[in-house]
Amino acid sequence: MLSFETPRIRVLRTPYLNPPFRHSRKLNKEEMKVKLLRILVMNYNIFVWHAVASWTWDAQDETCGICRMAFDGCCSDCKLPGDDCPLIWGACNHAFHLHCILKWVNSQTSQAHCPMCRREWQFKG
Amino acid sequence: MMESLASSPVGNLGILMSLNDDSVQEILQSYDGFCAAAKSLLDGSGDFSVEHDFVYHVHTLCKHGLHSLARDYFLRSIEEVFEKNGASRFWRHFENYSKIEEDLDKIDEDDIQRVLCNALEEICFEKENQEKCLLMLVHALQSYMDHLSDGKPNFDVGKDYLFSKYQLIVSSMLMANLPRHFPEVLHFYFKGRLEELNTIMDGELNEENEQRDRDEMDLDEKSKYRTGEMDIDECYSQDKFPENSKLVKNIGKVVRDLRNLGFTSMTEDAYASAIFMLLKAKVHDLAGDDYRSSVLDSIKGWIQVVPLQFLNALLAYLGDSISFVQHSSGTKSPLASQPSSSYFGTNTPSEGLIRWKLRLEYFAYETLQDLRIAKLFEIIVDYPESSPAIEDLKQCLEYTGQHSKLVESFISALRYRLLTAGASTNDILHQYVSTIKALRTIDPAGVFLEAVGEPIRDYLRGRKDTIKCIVTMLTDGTSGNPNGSGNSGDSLLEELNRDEENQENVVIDDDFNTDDKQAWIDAQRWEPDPVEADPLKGSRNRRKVDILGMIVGIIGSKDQLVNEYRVMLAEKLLNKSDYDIDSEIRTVELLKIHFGESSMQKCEIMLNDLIDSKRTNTNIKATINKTSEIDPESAEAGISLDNLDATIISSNFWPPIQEEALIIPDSVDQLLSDYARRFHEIKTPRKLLWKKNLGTVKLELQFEDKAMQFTVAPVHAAIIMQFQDQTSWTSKNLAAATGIPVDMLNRRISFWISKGVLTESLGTDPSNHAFTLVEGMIDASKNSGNTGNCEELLAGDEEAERSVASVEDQLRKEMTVFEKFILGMLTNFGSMALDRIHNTLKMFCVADPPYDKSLQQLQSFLSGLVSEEKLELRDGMYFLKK
Repeated sequence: MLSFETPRIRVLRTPYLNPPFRHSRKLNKEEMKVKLLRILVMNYNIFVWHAVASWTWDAQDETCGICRMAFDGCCSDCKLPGDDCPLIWGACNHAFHLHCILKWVNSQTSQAHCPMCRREWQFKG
Repeated sequence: MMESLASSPVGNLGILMSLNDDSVQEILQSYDGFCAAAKSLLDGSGDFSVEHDFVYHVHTLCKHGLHSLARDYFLRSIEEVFEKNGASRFWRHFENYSKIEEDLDKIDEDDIQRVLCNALEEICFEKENQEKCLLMLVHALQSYMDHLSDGKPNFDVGKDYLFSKYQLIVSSMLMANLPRHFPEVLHFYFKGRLEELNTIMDGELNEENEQRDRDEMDLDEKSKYRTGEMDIDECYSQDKFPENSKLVKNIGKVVRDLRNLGFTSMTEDAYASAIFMLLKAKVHDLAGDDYRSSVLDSIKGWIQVVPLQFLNALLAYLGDSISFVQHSSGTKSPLASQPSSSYFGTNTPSEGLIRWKLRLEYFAYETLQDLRIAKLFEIIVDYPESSPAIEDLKQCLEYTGQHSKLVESFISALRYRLLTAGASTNDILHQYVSTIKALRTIDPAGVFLEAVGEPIRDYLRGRKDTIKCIVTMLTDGTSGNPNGSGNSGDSLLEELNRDEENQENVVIDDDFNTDDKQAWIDAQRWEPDPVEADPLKGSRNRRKVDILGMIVGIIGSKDQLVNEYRVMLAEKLLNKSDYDIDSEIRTVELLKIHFGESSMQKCEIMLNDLIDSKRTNTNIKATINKTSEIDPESAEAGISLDNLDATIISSNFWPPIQEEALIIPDSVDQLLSDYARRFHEIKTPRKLLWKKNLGTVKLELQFEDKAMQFTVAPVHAAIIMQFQDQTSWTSKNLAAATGIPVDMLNRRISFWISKGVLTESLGTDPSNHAFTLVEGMIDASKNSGNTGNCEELLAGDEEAERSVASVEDQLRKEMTVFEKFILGMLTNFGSMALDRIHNTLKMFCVADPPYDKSLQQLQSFLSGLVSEEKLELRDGMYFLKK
């Protein structure tokens, strides 16, 4: 845009002043004009965009099969969800709260099974 | 002999029998002579030449045993003369004042004083004369008796009897003709005198104060000096006493004369009422409408200085005061020997004076109490400043014990002035809190508070926004501007703090309580409830006025309060552009102490989310430098991952979030997905779900000649960013580009229009407005405050701006499940009352989801159904709308 001569700029501003903006120009000229208008009319500068998001466990199920609490919540022993009460997947691809499945596994005398599919429980690699 | 003659007519008759002609003659002569002498004595006023004759005739009559005749005749003629010369003349003086009650303005007090003094002087002179005559008779009788008994002196001729008889004649004569307005006249006389005295004393006090002030300026040891100063004051005031004592003496003379005439009780009434009036006026004058200073002490001081001193002097003058008899030498003025300031300290005051003091003080307390109770509402309105007035009132009530008066009057004031539709809930709550605080001073046990608070609580329960207001009050201290208006006294947060301290104390107390000794001390300290306590409410031996408890009592359950607080907290946290939540943490900690850990669990998780977000955000930012891949387009738009912060919430524990569709500009959108990707990398297997309509954006708009800074919601940012590429949009196109419905867009875009950034012009299609970027921002000058570096926080300035569903919305959502039940019930039963619906729901909806709503919640839901025209409400019964 620096290559434009000054008179051209003045000419280009005129269509803006008379609103019905014509879209029927050639595309590259249109783009040029837009770029120019950005300087001439308004530019914005974003200092901070503070967004909001919610996290969720990337699990197929909604609730833990042992404690019946939501995965995004926490097990009955925990106070804080998320990092403090993580999920764990078994080799069978069933997910549980870590605390829940540990309790389950420890309560079994012999080799523990997945509470959902009764396959031998093994933590997913 | 004398007694028998006087009392028995039979004896008289016996004497008459024994009379011969000579003696009859003699009797007749001397009786005539006696009558004439008596007449001339009584009329002659000062002509005592007939005294010899008089005595002679009396002796003659006595010789014949006719004492009683002489005496009775003499008294009768005295009576006649007094009626003529004394009483009627006396009353004539006051004829001018017969209309005294009607035109109080025209009274000239000096005039009254003059007339009264003249009249008294005259009648006393008359009375004195007559008493002299009476004394003459007594002397005549006495000398005869002495003659008979040959110098045995102690023979009573009935002097006392005669004089009391005379006194009786005088007063009955006066009383019989008493004009109705005479007490009024007396009252005005005393009023005038007392006011005069008051002015003198006031002047003196002021001078003393001035002197004291001067002294204080000289010497900084104020208190030390003040005690030492008493002597000086006394010497100083003694100079003034002649003036006072003259006045008091005059009054004393009048009082004595009046007593002399038998007006003892009337006089006392008159000066008592004058004193009380003056006291009342003084109390009103001192107390006035200023609640910022305590007036009780100055009133007491005034009582001590003016009326008591007056009474002291008066009683002393009249000889009633023992102390006067004991302490004053005859020639000295009674006041000179007893300056009032030391009077109660050193000398024993007379019993009468003490009684007067108690009467006056009680009256002062009662007057002040009535005055304060009548204005209690205003006093409580500016409570923290008006605490001296409250303190006064407390003392007054301790003395008078008329607490019930306070309760009644204050409740009616509340009903009339506060509990009306016009008062905002916030004002009512503030007043309630102030009332609690103020009455807590007066009555630590909270008995009266309970009675007074009841109407307020009942009223607040009927208001919809009560909970919201309470929660705002709870959190005001955190979000509020600390340097702002000094309204922080109202904040309940301080109460939370105090509670915390109290709770610590309680713990210590409990430790001590295990000690037997302490238990014994506690037992000894026990005090019964005041008599006014409502026995139905049980004996609260350890009643502690707990403001928060009383506030929560309005709502009924803490759960509702906590729920509302959670919504408010969520709103606040979601609108934060930094992670600074110290004040919120503090509030939640304080609330936890009060409401218990478990009820604040979710709030704690919310705060924890913020803390985690901050950490995660830093971690994610740290990954940027390593990869350092810069998206060319976003870099051009002036935004990079550095500018992006995120609050990551555990949505299960937050109140339902309102999600609105929003298409944000590509550059930002890509940043968001980049951010989410990085999050997923760090926190596998967790992932992010953006709530694009939430959050805040700080941006700067640059124009040809100026730049403006804003803090806005993402919606606003998305809208204005569209105008960079294209300066004019129709609303339909813009709605499509941003992904928000047209009506919502129209509402949101008004923000930019109000800031003068965009203009709206009605196009050909009325539903399709055109928005244009204002060129050069010339128009912005009209919002001069907004130009330049203005920063506008926009959170919640439009009604639909909330990011969190309000409690009502949540309730409506939860209740829709039961709507079918309710409609079914009404189909079966036809009509049902509110509590029956409530009970039936409670009975049958026990699982999935259980019905756990309160009656009020059900009512508000049903009224919603009524307004949707699904139901009808007639006479408290709900029907299906046909």
